[in-house]
Amino acid sequence: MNPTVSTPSRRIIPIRLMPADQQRSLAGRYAWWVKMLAWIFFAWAFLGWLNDAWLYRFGTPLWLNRYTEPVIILLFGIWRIMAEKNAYTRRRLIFLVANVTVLWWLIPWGHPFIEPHAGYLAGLPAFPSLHSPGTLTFFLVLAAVFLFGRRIICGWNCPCVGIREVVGFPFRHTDHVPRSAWAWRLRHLKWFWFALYLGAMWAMTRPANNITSGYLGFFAMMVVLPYFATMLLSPWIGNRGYCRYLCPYGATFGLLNRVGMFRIDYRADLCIQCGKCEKVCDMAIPVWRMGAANQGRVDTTECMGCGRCITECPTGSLAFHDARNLVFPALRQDREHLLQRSDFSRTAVRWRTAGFFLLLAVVLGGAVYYSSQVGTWGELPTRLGAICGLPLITW
Amino acid sequence: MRIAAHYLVVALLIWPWLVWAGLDPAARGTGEYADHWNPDPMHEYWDPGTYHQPERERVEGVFTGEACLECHDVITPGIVKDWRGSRHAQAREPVLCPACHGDDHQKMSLPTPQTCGTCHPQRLAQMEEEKKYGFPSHALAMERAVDSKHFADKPKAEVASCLQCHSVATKCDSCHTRHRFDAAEARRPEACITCHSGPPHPDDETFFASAHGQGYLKEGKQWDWRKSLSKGNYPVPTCAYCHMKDGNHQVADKAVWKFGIRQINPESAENQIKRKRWLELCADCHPAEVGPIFFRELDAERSLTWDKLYGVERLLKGLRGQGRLIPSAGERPPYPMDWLAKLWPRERIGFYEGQASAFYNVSAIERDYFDVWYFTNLGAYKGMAHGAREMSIRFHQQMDAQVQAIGTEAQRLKETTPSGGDLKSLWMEGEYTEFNRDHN
Repeated sequence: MNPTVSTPSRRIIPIRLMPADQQRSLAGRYAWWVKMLAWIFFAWAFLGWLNDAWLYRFGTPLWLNRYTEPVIILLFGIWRIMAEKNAYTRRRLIFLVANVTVLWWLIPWGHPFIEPHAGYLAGLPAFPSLHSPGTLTFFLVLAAVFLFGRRIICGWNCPCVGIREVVGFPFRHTDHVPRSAWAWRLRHLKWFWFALYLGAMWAMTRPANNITSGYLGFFAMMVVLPYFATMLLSPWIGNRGYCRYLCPYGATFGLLNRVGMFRIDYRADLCIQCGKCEKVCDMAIPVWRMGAANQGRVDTTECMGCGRCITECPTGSLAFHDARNLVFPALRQDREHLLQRSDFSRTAVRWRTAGFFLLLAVVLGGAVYYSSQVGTWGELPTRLGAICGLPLITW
Repeated sequence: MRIAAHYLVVALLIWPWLVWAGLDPAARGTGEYADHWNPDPMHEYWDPGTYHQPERERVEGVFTGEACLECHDVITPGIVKDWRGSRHAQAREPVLCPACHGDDHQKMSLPTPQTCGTCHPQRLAQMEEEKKYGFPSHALAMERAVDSKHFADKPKAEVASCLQCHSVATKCDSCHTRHRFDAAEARRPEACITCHSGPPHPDDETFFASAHGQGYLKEGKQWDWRKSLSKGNYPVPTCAYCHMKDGNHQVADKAVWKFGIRQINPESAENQIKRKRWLELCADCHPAEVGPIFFRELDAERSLTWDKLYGVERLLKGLRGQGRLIPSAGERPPYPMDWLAKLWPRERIGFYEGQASAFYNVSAIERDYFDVWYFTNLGAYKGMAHGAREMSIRFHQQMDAQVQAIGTEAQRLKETTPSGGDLKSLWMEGEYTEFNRDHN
C-alpha cells in the first residue's frame, strides 16, 4: 500500500535577468548569451597565449597573441565602464583598464625594453616584469603594496583581475561563486603555489642550469595553465577563482597586505548587520564576520581593494585604512569619502584624474625614450645608468 | 752507455712525479652529476679554477718576474717569446709571470677568468653578465657540458673533446691564446673556428660561403686587426664584429634562436629587443630596410624547418604509441642518474622530452631523427643566418632525404611485428654497457 506522496508545489519565481548594459555591486544574473560571450572571450585570450607561447601560427598577430588579452580587456572594459552603476567601481575600472592598456599592452607591444634586474631569469625581463623577482617593477610594487595594500596591483592594475572583472562579470553571481565555509577554506590552496614561487625565487638566484631552468619552466606552466583553466572554469568557481585559490603573486601581495599598513576598519556601533558587504565581495571574504571577530579589523590576505563592500555599506561602518591614515589620522576612507573621490563633477577629482593620466603618459613617453636608449651595445649595469640619464658606456 | 743508463734510472725515478703532478688523483667531478664521473688529468687545464694543483716539482723558492724569465728563456723559450710579443710585456709596468701564476714555485696557479678580471674587470663583468641570458652562453658552457647526462655517463675517452671547447667558460685563452693574449688574434674568425666548426654548428663553412666570408678570405690578410670592432673599421663583418660588437664579451646578447634546437617565438618581447640590436648592427653597412627583410626570410626558414621536424616527431610518437620503437626504452640502459627514466622508461622525442641527451642507446630510427634535428637542422639554420643560402638549401635537401628515409623506415616498422629476441639482455648487459659503467 503506497501512501500518496504529495510533492510540495514549487512556485516558479521568474528570474529577472540584469540587462547586459547594467552592472551593480550586488551581482545580477545575466542571460545565457552574455555568459556565452564572456566564456568565448576567455577562451580567445587563452588561444592568444597558446599561439604566442607555443604554436606561432599566422605570424602571431594582435588578435591571436599575448596582447590579445589586454585588447579584450580594453574592448570589454569600455563596455563595463559604461554599464557600471557604482561610481567608485566605475572609477576603479577606468584606472584598471587604462593601466592594463598602457602598461601591459602599449608599452611592451610598441616599445619593448628590458628592466634592470638582479638574479638570473634564464632570459631577459621585458617591462612590466612584475612576476620576475629582482626587477625594478617587482620591488616598486612590493613597496607600494606594503603602503597601500593589494589595491595597488590587484584591484587597479592587474591584467588577471582586469579580464576577470570586465569579461567575467556574468560569473560574479552567487550562482557561480561558491561561498560556503569549505569553499572559503580552499583559499589556503594558494600557499602551495606560493611555496612553488619561493622555489622560483631561489632558482633565480643561480645562473641557469638543468635544475633551475627546468624548475622555472615547470613553475611557469604551473602558473599559466591554472590561470587560463580557471577562466574557463569561471561558471563553476566564480570569476575570481584564480585569485582566491591559486595565485602565488596574490599570496605574496596578500602577505604584505597583512604585515603592511592596509586593512579595512569595521565599526560595530554603526553596523546594522545587513550582510551586504559579504554578498558583494568577489573574493567571497566574510567581511562582517571577520570584522566582528577581530576587534573591528578586517585584515586579510585576500582583499584586493575593490572597495565594493565599503561603497555598498549603507551606514558607513566600513572604511579603508592604509599609509594615508598615518599622515592624516583623522581621515576615514569610508563610503562617503570614496564616492566623493569618484564624483567627476568635482574639480579636485578631475585634477586628480588628469594628474594620473599625465603620469601614465609620462611613463609611456619614458618607456619610449628608455627603449630607444637601450637595445644597443651597453651591458645591463650601464642600462641601469640609462634610466638615470647617464650616457651609454662602451669599451 | 753508462750515461744513458744513468738517465734511464733518473727518468724511472721521476716518472711517478710527472704523473702525479697536476690533477689530484682523488679529484671528483663537478656539477649536478658530480658523483657519476671523475675528471681526466687534462681537466686541470680545462677547468683550472676547480682542478689545478700546484706542480709538485723539484724547484723550490719564491721568484721575481725577472728570475722566472732567466730560467724559462731557456726551458720554455716559446712561451717567453710569445709573452715578449704581448702587450703585457710592453706595458710601462710589464705584467710579469707572478702576476698571473703566483711567485712561489710550489704554489703555481693557472689563471682563471677571475685572474684576468683583476686587471680587465669590465670584460669579466660582461662575461659574467652573459649568464643572465641563460643558454646558449659562453659563460655557462662548462656547466652545460658537465651537467649533461651523456657527458657524465660516457667513458671519459669518448667525451674527451667536449671540454676543450666548453672550457671557454673557465679560462680566457680559448680565444686569446697564451702567452700573447692578443686582442687582434681573438678578433679573427680563426679564434672562433677552433670550436665553431663542423656539425652541429658549421659556423666556419657557412660564414666562408657567405659574401661576408668571401670578402674576408679575399682581403682579410691585409686588414689591420688591431682596430676595434666598431663601425667603419672593417670592410666586411666577421664573426666577432657581429657577435661581439665593440668587443662586448657578452656574446649571447643577441641570441634569438636559442641555438636552433627548439622553436622559439621570434616576436616575444625579449626577442624583439634582441632583433632590434641585430638591425642596428646590420645598419652599420646596409640600408635600414634590408635587415628586416633578411630576418623575415630567416623566420620563414625556421618555421618551415620546424614544420618538417614536428612532422617526424609526430611519426615517431605514433610508433612509440604502438610500441614499434625497438629496442624500447625499457629494453635499453637508462642513464644511471636519470631516476625518472628508471621509474618510467620512455623514449625521449623532441626537445622538451629531453632529446638532447638521446645521443646514445636509442633505436636506429630515433638516432636518425636525432641526426636530422641536431645536425642537419642546425646546418640549415646556420646557413641561413650567416647569409649562405646555398648551404641552407643543401642542408634542406639533405633534411628532406633523411625525413623521407625515416618515413619509409617508420612504415616498415609499422608493418613488421616486433621480433621476440631478448633485446633487453643484449642492451642492458652488453659488453659496451658494462665497460661504460666501469670507466666513466
